[in-house]
Amino acid sequence: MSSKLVLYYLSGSMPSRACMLLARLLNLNFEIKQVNIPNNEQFNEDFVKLNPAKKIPVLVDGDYVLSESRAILAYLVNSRSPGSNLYPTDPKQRGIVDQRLYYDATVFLPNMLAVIRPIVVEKKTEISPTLQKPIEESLEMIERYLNEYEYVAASHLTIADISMLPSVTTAREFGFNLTKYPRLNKWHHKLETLPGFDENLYGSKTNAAYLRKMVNGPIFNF
Amino acid sequence: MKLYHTPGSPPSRSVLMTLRCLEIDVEIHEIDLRKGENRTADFLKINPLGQIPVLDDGFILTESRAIMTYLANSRKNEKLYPSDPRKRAIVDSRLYFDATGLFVHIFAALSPMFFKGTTEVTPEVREKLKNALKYLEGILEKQKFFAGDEATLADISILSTVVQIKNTFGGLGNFSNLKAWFERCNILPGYDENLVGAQMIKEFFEKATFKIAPLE
Repeated sequence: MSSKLVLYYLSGSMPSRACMLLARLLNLNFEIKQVNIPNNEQFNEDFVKLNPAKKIPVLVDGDYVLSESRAILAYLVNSRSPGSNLYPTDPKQRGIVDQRLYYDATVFLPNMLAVIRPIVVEKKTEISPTLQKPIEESLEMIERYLNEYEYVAASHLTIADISMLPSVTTAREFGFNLTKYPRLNKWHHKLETLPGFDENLYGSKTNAAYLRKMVNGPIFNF
Repeated sequence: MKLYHTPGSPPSRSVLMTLRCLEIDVEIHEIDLRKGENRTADFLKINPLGQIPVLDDGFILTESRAIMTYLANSRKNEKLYPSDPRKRAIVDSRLYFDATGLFVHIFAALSPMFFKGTTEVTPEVREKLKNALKYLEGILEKQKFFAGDEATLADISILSTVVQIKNTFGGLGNFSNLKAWFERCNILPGYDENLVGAQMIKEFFEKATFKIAPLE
């Protein structure tokens, strides 16, 4: 069974890039459709019909439509590569992956978006310095996870790594010094060999460059 | 199995309700957030983020929805968490929506009131909550529960958040599908316990010197 996969995507969106990275890793045949969020394309009638939550990424698999990046990551493994180590089927191992995914969704990514949204969406021209520490705390948390296992949720790569990678790359491009977190630094270096990493890096650099242009200076004074 | 639990917290209630639905025996340790019991050295050893709920099932698991899916997976419960990839992904999608698109906003509304003494829900937060509820209302146009015509983990998670919203705003406005769904969920074990846990929100606003305008 091979149905046409379409990923509604924006290179500036970390969750979008995570889905792109997994689709490349799984060697899936898929089409990317850009949704330009800064131009409010998520409010276009057709897109709203597709995803009334007006968010990207969205996965279309034949007649099936799925939103929420981490649900998409899980779905791609469950449907295209069931039993893969990328999303272990053992409940405890899967539970740890899921815990990292929810940490990413509810703490790490929001800490990054707190920097990006005011500039990209609200068109502000200043970044509050108080937003630096929460990101550092998230990087420290990932360092702690990497103290437990070689990858963030297990002794091998899982979708938890894929989910977090785009935000870590973006943090680095924002100027956060990853060498302060030795395990994280080593982990990030390892993941540079993932197919699609170049696109991830491009998206991160674009995020950072746009922010610097809008605030006319560095993102944080480190 | 131990659960570190705060009845006033929607995510904590969701885990407890999942345990009731799966008929799993659990030892409950109540953690009082207002007394800072989640910030003690002992508790931070269990969860460095100081958040509840925390499950101890021979290993520590945090993040309520990861705990819920872990419990359902370990019991292979097809109804609450179907194994079919497409059905499962919809449940996951709703769980992530609850976490990042619904609960986050009621949390942003209530935390400052409990911990910093603010007295209003800002227009921005109110708007975000209304949009999230509109999205959920739309899903219920075509189906009885959030992931189909049977109740799943998605409904448990969203129920805990919605009862928090209901008790904050004194009702669910004109969201008639949501109101009907809310009643429909009473078939689930642990429903009453979930509503009782949210009573403290009602009591907080009954004692407060300020009122929160209802949802339109």
